[in-house]
Amino acid sequence: MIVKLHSIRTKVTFLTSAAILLSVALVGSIAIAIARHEADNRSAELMTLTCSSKCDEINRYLSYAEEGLRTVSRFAYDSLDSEVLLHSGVIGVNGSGRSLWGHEPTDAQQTALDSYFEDYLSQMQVMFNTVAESNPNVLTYYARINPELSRTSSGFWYSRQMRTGFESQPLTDLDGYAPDDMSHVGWYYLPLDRGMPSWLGPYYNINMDKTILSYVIPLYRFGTFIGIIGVDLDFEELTERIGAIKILESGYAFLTDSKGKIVYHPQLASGLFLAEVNSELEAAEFNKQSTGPIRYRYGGVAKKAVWGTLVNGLMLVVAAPVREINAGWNLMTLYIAVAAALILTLFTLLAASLMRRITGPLEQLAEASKQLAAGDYDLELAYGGNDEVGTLTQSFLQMSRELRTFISDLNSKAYRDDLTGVKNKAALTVFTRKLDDSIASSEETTEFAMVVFDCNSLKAINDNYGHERGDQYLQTACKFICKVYAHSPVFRTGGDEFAVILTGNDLINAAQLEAHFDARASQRNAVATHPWETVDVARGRANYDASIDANVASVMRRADMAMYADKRMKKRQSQTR
Amino acid sequence: MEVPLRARIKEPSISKVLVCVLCALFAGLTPLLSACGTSIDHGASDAEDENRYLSIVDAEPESVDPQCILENYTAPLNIFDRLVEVEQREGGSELTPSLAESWECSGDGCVYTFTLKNGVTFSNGAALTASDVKFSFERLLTNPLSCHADLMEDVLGADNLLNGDAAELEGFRIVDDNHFTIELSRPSAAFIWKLTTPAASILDEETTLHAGESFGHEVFETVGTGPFVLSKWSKGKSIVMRANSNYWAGLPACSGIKMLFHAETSSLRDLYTAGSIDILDLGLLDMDSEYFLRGDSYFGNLVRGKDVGITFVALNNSLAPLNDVRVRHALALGLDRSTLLTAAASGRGMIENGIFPYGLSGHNDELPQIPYDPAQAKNLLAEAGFAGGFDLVITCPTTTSQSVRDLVTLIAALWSNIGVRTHVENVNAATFNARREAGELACYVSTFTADYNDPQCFIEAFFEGPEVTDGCSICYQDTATMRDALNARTILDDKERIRTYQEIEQKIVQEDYAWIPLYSKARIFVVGSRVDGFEVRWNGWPSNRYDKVRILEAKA
Repeated sequence: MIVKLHSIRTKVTFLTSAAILLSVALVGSIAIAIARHEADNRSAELMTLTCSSKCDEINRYLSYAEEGLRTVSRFAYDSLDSEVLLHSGVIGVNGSGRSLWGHEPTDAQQTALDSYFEDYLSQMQVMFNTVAESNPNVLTYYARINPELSRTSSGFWYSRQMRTGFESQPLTDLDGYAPDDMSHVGWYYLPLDRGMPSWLGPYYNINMDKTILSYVIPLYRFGTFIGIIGVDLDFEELTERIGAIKILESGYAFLTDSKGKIVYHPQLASGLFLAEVNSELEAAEFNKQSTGPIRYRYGGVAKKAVWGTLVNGLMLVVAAPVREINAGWNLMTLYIAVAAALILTLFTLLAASLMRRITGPLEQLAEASKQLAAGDYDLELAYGGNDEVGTLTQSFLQMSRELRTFISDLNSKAYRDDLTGVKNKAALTVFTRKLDDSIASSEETTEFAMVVFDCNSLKAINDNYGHERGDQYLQTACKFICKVYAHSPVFRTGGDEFAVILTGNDLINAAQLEAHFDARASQRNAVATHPWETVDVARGRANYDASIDANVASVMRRADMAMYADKRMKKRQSQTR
Repeated sequence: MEVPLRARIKEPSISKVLVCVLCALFAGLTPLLSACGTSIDHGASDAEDENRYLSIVDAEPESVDPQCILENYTAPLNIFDRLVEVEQREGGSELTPSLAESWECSGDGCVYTFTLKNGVTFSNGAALTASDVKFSFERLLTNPLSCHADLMEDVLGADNLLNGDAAELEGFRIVDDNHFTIELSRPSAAFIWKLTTPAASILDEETTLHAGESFGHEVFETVGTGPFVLSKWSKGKSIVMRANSNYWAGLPACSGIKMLFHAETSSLRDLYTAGSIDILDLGLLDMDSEYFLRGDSYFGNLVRGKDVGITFVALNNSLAPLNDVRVRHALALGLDRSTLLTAAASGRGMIENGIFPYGLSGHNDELPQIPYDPAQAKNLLAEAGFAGGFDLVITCPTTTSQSVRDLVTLIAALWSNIGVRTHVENVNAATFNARREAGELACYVSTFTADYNDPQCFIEAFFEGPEVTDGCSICYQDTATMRDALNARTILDDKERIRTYQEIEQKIVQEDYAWIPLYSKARIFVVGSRVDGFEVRWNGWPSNRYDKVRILEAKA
C-alpha cells in the first residue's frame, strides 16, 4: 500500500511537473517567437524609417538644385526668340548637337544668330546668378550653346568664390577633348546623349580639382538642340551627411551608384563594386521590387541592410549588425526565460507542497492500518484537514477505537469463566500453546509445574441443597485456590476442576504452598456451619520434567494422576474415620 | 477497504491539482504574452484601392454631362455608352455595336431601326429601355444647356421640338422596350456616325430627370451604363471613377480611373517619372515633351496615335484685302508649313493640303501640295495691288497655348518676308468667340478635330452655308459650292458622297484658298510600364476610354 501511495505521489508530481514544463515551454516559445517577430519588425521599421528619412533629406538637398535649374531652363526656353531662330534657319535643324543636319546658314544668318545668343546668354546669366546665389550648395553654374549654332557665343561658367561670390571662369574647350572624356566634358555630352535632364557623378572634375555632382538640363526648342545648362554640387557635402548617419552602435550608411559601384563608404574605398564586396547584398539591392531588409554576412559579422534610391539615381544603403539589432530581442528573450524559470520553480514547489499535503496524511494512514493489523489499537493520527483525507483520517481513528472496544469485549467473553471469574479452559489452551512453544524452542529451558484440583461431593451438595449451593461451594473453593496461589494463573478446567500453573517463586515454594493450603482448609472446615461453606478438594501436582514430558499435556496427565491418588487417599481416610 | 480509499483520494485531487497549477501558470504568463502582443493594422483604405486605379491627366471638365460640354470628354466616355462605337481597324475605323445590338437603315436612307442589347442596366440598377434613348435624344434638343442639338438636326420633327412647337421628337418611335426606329427628314449617311460621339451617350431617363441641374455634377446623380462609375469629384483636383461591377460587357480590365486635373504649375514629367501618372499626353507638355521623345529612355513607353484634326489659318474671305483670292493664295504660298510643323510638333505630323485631315474617312492623299514659294507670293500680292504689302491682324484668345503662340509668331515672321505686316492681337476668349461668330475676325489660327469619322463633320462646321461660314469668320463666298456641300450629306452612295466632298474640298482650299491648311499632328502618350492594353482613340483625342486598359501591378 505504501508503495502504491508513493506511486500516486510520483505520478501526480511527474504529471504536474510535466504539464508545467510543457506549458512554460509552449507559452515561453510563443512569447519568444512573438517577441522576436516584433523586434524584427521594429528593427526593420527603424532601419527603413532611418533610410527613407535620410533619402528624403538628401533628395531635398538634390531637388533644391533641380528646381533652381528648372526655373532657369523655363526662362531659357520661353525667352528663345522664335522669329530670330526662324530667320537664321535654325528651326527644324534636327540633330544631336554634334552635327546639325541641314544647317547651312548664310553669313548674315550666322552673324545674326551669334549676336542673338550673346544677348540671350547675358540675360540668362543674370537669371542664373540669382538662382545660384540662393542655393549655398551650388559650386558652379554654367550654360553652353550648341557650338554648331553659334561660333562666337559659346556660353559661360561661373564658380563660387569664398568672398566675392560667383566669378566667371574660362570655358572648357569642347573640341579639345573626346566626347567620352567624362572628367573633362562628360557634363556636356552625357545629358546630350540621354536627351533629358540628368544627374551626373559623383566624378572627379579635373578643372575644379573636386569630386562633384552635376545636374544638367539640355535645352531643345522647335526640335533643335540649343545647348545645355547645369550646376555642380560639392559631393563632400553629401558624404558628410551620409557619414553622420549612425544606426544603433556601429551601423552606418553608404552610397552606391546605379551599377553597384561604391561611391562613398565610411570604411571601404570608393570605386569597389558591391558585387566584389558582398554578392548577397548586391543581388538584393538591384531587385527593384524591394528596399530590404536583407540579411547578409560581411567580415564574419551577420548584418542587415535596407536601401533607397535617390533622385539622382544613387542608392543609399543603411546597414547594421544583426547582433545590435537583436539586442532588444535578446533582452526580451532573457526576461521571458527568467520569468519562465521562476514560474516553473514556483509552480513545481507549489505542486510538491500540495502533493505533500495530500500524500503525508495518506502515508500516516497506511502506517496506522499496518499497526491495526498487528492488533495495536493505540493509533496516533494528527491530520485534521477539512478535506477528503481529513474525513478519511477521522473515520479511520473512529473505526480503530471501536475495534479496540469490540476486541476487548470479545476477549473477556472467550477466556473467562462466568461463575468464578477465573480463566476458562480455552484460556488454558492458549496458555499451554505458549508453553508448548517455549518447550519446543530449544533456546531456553522451561520450568513450571501444574497443580490440578477437583472438588469433592459437588453432586451431593447439588442434589441435597440445590444448584445454587453447589455454585457457592465451587466459588468458595476457587477463591481459596486463588488466595493461596495468588501469584499464579488459575483456570477452571471442568465442572468441578481447577488448574494452576506454577512458575517462579510459586514453583520453588510449591510444597510450602500445598502445606499452607491444607492448613488453611482445615481451619476453615472446622468453623464451617454448612457443607457448601467447606473447602473439600483433591489435589495433584506434577513438575515439568524435560526427560519425560514432551509437552504440557503430559505434565497435566501426571498431575491428574496425582490428584486422583490424593482423592482415593482422602476417601479411604474418611471411611476409616 | 483499500481500493475505495485510493479511488476517493486520487481522482478529485489530481484533477484539482492540475487545474489549479495550470490556471496559475497561465495566469502568470498571460501578462507576459500580452506584453509581447502584436498590433494588427486593419484597413484596406480607399487610398490603397486607388493605388490599383489607372492614373491619368486631363483638364477638369465643366460638367460630365456629355450633352453640355465641348471638350474634356474623358469622364463621359467612360461613364456612359453610346448606341454604337467606333473601333480602329486596319486601314480605317468602323462602327461596332454597343448598346444597340443591331441596326438597319431603310433603302431610302431615312429610317433606322435599332435593337437594344438585352439585360443592360445603368449603374443604379435600372434597366435600359428604348424610352431612355428617346429621352436622351430629345434632351439634346430641349435642354437649354445642350450644345449638341446638331446631332439630331436630321431627325424628323427635330426643328419642332427645338422650337417648342412639339412635345416629342416626331421621328423617334418606340416599338417596345428593346426596339425603336428613328426617321430622318432627309437621308444622312453621317447620322449613324454622329451617334458615336460622347454627346450621343444614353442617359437614364428617371435619374437624369430627377437630378435636374445636378446631373453631370453630383456623383450620385450622374448615372450611366458605362464601364466606370463616377465615385468622387474633388473640384480643382481630381475625378475618381471606379469599375462598374455590373457592367454589361464584363468587368473592365482595371479597377478604376483616377483622373488628375492638370495644373499649370505642376511638373507632369516629374509626376510621371515618380509613378503618380500612368498615361500622359505629351501634348500637355511643352519643353518636357522633348525629353520623352529623344533618346532611348522612354522609347518603349510611347504609344502613338493620329490626331484626326487639322490646324489651319482661317482667313476672312469677306474682308479686304483678304476678299481677293490672289491675296489669300499669296498668304498660303508665304508659309513654310514644314518649318511650322517642325516648330510646333518637332516634325511629328503631316502637312495638310485640304480640309479633311489624314486619318479621316474621305482624306484625299492626292491633293496637290501647296508649296512654300515666297517669290510667287510676292508676285501675287503685287498683282492684287499690294506690292508694298498690307497690314493684317491675327487674333488670339488669351487662353492660347504657348505652342500656338509660337506658331502665330512664326506665321507672322514668315508673312513679313512677303511684305505682310502682321500684328498679333490678344483678346479674351469670350470676346474672341463673339467676334468670330459675328464674322468680324480677319485671321486666326485654330485646330479642329473630328468628332465623328465623316467629312461632313468638317464641312458642316465651316462650309455648309453662309450662316455657318460667317459664324466662324471664314465668310466663304461661293454659295453654289456651299449648296453642293449641304446636298452632299444626302447622297446615299458612299463613294459618290466622298468624291463630292473631295471636289468641294479642292475647290474651297486649292482654288479659293478660303483657309490655309497647315498640318495634322501625331498624338503621343507616354505610358507607364505597369499599364497594358492602352490604345489611342481613333481620332486622337486626349480623352480616351480605358475599359480595356490593365494594371499589371499595384504601385508600391
